[in-house]
Amino acid sequence: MKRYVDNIGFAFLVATGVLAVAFLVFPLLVSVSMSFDSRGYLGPFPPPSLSLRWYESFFSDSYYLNGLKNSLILATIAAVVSTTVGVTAAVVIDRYEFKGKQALATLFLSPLIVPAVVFGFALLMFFSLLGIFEGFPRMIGGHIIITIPYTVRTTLAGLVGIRKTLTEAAMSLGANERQAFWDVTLPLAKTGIVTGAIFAFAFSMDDVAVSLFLSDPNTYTLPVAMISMMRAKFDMTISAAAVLLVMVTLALLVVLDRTIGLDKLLGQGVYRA
Amino acid sequence: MKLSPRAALLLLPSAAIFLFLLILPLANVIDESFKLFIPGRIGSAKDAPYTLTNYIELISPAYAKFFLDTFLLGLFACAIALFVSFPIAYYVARQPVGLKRKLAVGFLICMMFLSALVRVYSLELTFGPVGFLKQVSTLFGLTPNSRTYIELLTIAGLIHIIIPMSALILVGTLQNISPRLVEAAQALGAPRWKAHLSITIPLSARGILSAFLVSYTLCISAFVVPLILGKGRLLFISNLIYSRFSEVANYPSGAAMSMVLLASSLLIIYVVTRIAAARWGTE
Amino acid sequence: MTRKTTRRQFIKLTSGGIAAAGLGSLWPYRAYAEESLVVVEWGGIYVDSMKELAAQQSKFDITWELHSGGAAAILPKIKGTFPNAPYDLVASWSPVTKSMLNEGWLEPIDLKLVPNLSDVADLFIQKDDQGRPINIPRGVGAMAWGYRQDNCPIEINSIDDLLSPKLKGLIMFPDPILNTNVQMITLARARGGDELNMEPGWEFMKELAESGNIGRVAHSDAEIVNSLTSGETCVTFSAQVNFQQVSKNFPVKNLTKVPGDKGLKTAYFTESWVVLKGKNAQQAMEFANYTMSPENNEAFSRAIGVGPANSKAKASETLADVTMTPEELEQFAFVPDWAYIGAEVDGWMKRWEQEIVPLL
Repeated sequence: MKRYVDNIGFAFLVATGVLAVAFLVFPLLVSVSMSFDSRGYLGPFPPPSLSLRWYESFFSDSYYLNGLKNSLILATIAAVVSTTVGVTAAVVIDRYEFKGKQALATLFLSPLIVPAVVFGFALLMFFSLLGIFEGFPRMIGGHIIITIPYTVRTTLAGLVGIRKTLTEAAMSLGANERQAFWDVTLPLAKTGIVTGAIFAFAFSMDDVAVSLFLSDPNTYTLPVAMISMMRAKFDMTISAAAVLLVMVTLALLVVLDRTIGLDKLLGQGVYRA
Repeated sequence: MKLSPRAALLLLPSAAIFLFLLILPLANVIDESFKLFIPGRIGSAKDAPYTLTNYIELISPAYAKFFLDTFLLGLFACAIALFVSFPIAYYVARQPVGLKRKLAVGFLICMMFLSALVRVYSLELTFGPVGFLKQVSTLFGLTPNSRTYIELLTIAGLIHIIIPMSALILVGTLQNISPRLVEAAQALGAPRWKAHLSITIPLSARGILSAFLVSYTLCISAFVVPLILGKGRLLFISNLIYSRFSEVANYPSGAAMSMVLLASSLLIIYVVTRIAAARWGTE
Repeated sequence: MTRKTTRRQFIKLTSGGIAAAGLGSLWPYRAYAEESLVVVEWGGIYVDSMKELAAQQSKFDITWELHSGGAAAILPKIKGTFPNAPYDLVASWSPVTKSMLNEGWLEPIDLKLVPNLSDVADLFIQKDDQGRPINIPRGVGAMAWGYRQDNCPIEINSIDDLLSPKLKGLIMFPDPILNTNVQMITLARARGGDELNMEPGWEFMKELAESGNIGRVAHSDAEIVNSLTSGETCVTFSAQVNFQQVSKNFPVKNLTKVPGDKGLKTAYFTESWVVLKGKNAQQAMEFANYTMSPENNEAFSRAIGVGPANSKAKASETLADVTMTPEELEQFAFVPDWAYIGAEVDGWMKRWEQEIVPLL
């Protein structure tokens, strides 16, 4: 009887998993087909014929390419800064006990609740009060604050399973606090940290609302470029750009695999051989 | 361990960032929310008088319904997404080093990088009224034009974004749970489902909480998903705020609405965190 | 400690180097030549045709910023930076220019710098309190009801046809922010009201919402075009620009000259340049004047699908549906009081959110 329920439960979960993956994949396939759609408008799937025109359109317009360049640079800076600051904060919250710890943890999560529209507006007005009118510093600020909650949260989640006894053991064996941190805690928390960095990069690349408000004529990101062009004519360049981005991600992942090993990227926790 | 002054110093960069990029700008917005808006102007005038009208306007059943839509649909989406991403994360966590693991992790990361706008239009073309899978909706006995259909489609859009995210967060948590514990429980006679229910899930409680909070906050502040999939008939709060900031130029009203959203979201998060702490000790 | 991280160190070094190089190349250099201008324009065909015009002259070096939403989306960015706004010339349209004027952002147009303005009908020029012109109209657009003929179940000949049960889910209704709610003004007119008396319009609107005929409510023009081309909906109210986009691929019937129906009327609006106060105001006016020459204005309006504001320019033939003789204008057209309805939109939007959205 137990076995029976177990098997049904297992089958059910497998079915759910497969359905979920299918659900995730189908729209991805449709996006890809949209980018090769020869029609000059948004039409029902499947497209009658394929063409590369949207990719040509994307690469021929320096407006998009400039946006892509800015997006990549901003995302890198945001990811690096958010990860560094976020990990530091997460480690302090995890290790130490102090009053208001819970409130602080909530504060670090709070930017996620603020809709991006509100952030964009608030930051625009605030920067004007401070007299900062340049687009680039504004954008960096905006991207950092929207990505930092992810790094904090994922690092915290990753730090959970690390038993404090490990760090204490290291220290009792002669390591000072800094060594214990760098050589014991940090590698074990690698999963959370790397996940946070990935999230930060992804969300910075995809951000629309904050960048819309904070951009200036010389500094704008790819999503801003796409939305603005879409405003007066929806052509599929936007889907070509999106597919290209996924391709770039794939390329990055292959590079990561060759160097660090994709399967080891998220660490292995207790499954470390 | 107690907080030493040197350790507190480590919090300084994050504190500075949050002060200058979150607290002060929001304080400015709060200030704007109390100012009077005169239609035809852009935002509040420099010397506008302070007033409560922007908040009082929001006390109406229609706005309550918008808040409810946002919070409830978000909750459904998160619940379903978490339920689904848990097995996926478990599968990935249990994969030994090798090709399958690489593919799974790579797939999840790639899904995170798909632009929200394109994702949403693809869903529209897949499951929407002209989608090639629109028969899925008739399976549930819905017409593609009904309100329920739109709500389901919006939930689907939210889930599509959340699943890769929460799966990745949960992988980190699940990896740190030794499989020996479940094996021990089974050796002691528990069926597998009971073993997982009483061991794996409580041990990953903190990770589940993290995944839930990150996903739910994303749902509450969702903008693109309800914009396209909601067909303009289902509005989330951020859509209402957007029209105030970027279209009607009624910044005080937008500011007031943002503050109400923030306050209610913080309240919910606080309550959820407290309950989780009490129930599963996720302090 | 053994050197176990050679690969990692290499990665760190190179990525650090790349990041530094990237940062360096990105830092925008501020070398504003005297003849460089920043112009805000709509994306897509608008900016494409403007870029063509700009390419044919060599006096001004233009940096284009694109509107990211409606004409009002740029306003917070101007409000935040005025009087140091990075924009010199802004493309806008009737209701928004009035708001910008109210804020005191607009430089009055100097006719000596913009002689082409004298070829524009006075009807389209907006003036400030002292009677000075504050906009340079460049196109006259029309908005009306229209539908895709190939997939619409019925023929629409009167505005009450919108309530027909055969149109379930097939109407794309723009929200009050789009078109400054002129669509609801047509509904009001159908029942004997107008923009000053909108109650009949709200009545009609509620009936329409309850009928279940409204498939989607649009917030942007792109949504309108997408919804029609994908076949999700087939009837809508919009500017000719959008119907032209759809008609490139599908047969569209424009309900612009329908005799005998009080509701199916065509509304006219002007798209215009406005000049922001600032050090480049004069150059901005010169460039605007360049775009307003009869040939340039004709090329622009032809590409976009609006009527040229310059009376010496010829209107495109594709605009036959909206080009009207004076008698036709009498019968079928109206120009709403843009300044008035621009101020009403806030209240209308709130009423829409509270009374209509729950019914949809």
